[in-house]
Amino acid sequence: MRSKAFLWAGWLALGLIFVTSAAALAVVKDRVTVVVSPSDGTREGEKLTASVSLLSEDLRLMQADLRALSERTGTALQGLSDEFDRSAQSQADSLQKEAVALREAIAALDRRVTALAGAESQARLAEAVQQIGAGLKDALATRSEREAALAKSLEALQREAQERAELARLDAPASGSSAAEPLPERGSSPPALPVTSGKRFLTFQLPSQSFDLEKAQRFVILESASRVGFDAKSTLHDFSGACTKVRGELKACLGRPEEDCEGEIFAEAAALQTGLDDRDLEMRKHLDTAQHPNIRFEWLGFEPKSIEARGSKFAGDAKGKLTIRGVSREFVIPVQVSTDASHRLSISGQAKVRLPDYGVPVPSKLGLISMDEEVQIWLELRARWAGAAEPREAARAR
Amino acid sequence: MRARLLFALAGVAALPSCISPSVLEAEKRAIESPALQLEWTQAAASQLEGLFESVELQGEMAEVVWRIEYHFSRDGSYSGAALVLQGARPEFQTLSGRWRLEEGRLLLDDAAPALALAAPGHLRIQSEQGSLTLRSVSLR
Repeated sequence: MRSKAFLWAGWLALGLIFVTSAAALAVVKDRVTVVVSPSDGTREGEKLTASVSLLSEDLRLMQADLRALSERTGTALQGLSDEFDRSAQSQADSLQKEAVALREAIAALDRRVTALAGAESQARLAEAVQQIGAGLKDALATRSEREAALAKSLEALQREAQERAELARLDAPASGSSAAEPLPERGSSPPALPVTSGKRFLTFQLPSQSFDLEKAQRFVILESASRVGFDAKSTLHDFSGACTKVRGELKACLGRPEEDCEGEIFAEAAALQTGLDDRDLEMRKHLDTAQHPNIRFEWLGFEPKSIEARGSKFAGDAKGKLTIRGVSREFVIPVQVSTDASHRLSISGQAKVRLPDYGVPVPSKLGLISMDEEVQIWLELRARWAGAAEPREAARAR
Repeated sequence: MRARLLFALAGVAALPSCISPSVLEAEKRAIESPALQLEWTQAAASQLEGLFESVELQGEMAEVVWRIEYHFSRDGSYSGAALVLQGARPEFQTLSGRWRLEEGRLLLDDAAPALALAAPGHLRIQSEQGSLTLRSVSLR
């Protein structure tokens, strides 16, 4: 870069010198005027001749000076140019040499770095392989320990399950089917252990359960807290019959009761009591409790009418089939449903039923004391939450 | 003769008014817990001895606890069983330990003290998780 700058400066100086010389020559040429005129006299002519000779001499001298100057300038410029050339050449040479040296140094450094990197990476790789090997050894040892522990747990669980099954088999009534589940096959997954909430009630461990309003849940009718009955009118007097032997199970999604609500409720017909033994005996005959021991309501759907508190208090029509004395008919009963803090259901409802529709003879005594053929049946059910319900498809498949 | 017949008919007609109706009022259809009618007092140790079974569970724990039975022995030992909803089905839990009563509070092993109340034939234990009402049952 520097050599180029010097070169250009040299050529510029040469140009300037030539331009200056040309300008000087032009100036001098204009000022020197040679006039040749006829002489009037010899003396004057001689003077003029002498002047011309002098001038001519001066001019010649000046030309010689100019030539010499020009030659010197040229020589100087040539020298300067040569000097520039030499300097540039030497600089270029030195730069080239430096570049070559630098390139060689870089190559040498590169070779060294490569050699160093190779050695280091090899060392690191070897170290890493060693570490991985050690880790794998540890992992294999831990896995073996865990497998051994798991195998022990599995064996213990299988032994426990076997013992439970044996106990259940011994405790089970002769006529009943065994409630024990089949033993898990060897190699199958161990049964899921219960998830506990960490809370205890009077030292019993409370499991972690979550009641989901948006999913169908199972509810078991609490026999000790439920009652169904009827109110009847007769010419003698009005009376009620009630039965506390109620059982059954419901499936309901409290958040969306219209979507997934079904179940069965059974009331023991022979357990209906009206408060008069003779009347009860008569009633059992009319209901033919020997042949049809249960009054059954098959709950098939729910149509909400009002919701006071979503998921905990609502009213609507429970739809299904009512079976009395073996005769089933479509039946709709308006009910109020509520839940308490423990998600226990309370279901209250009442609806009218025509006894002849179900083949029940209407009691009559001598035509004087007769009962209305229409009675109002009612239910007061309490049901306890029994966990999440199986999806409908799974239940059907089962 | 006609007068007697009229008298008999009048008697039959008046009969319904003599027999009071036995219709169960709608408000009384639901079964009330008999424990509600009891008067509760601070329990004494002697009232805890024996076998008890739950008749009423109230509170947070009642969601998963279906039934509890305790047997408290005079020597300070006790045993209990609880039917607890475990996933999709109820399962029994059993336990044994030591019990004592201090100033009306029942202490079962290392559990927090619970208020113990007694009524004829009944025992009520109240803790933060809920209230458990038990009735005394005789061994058969």
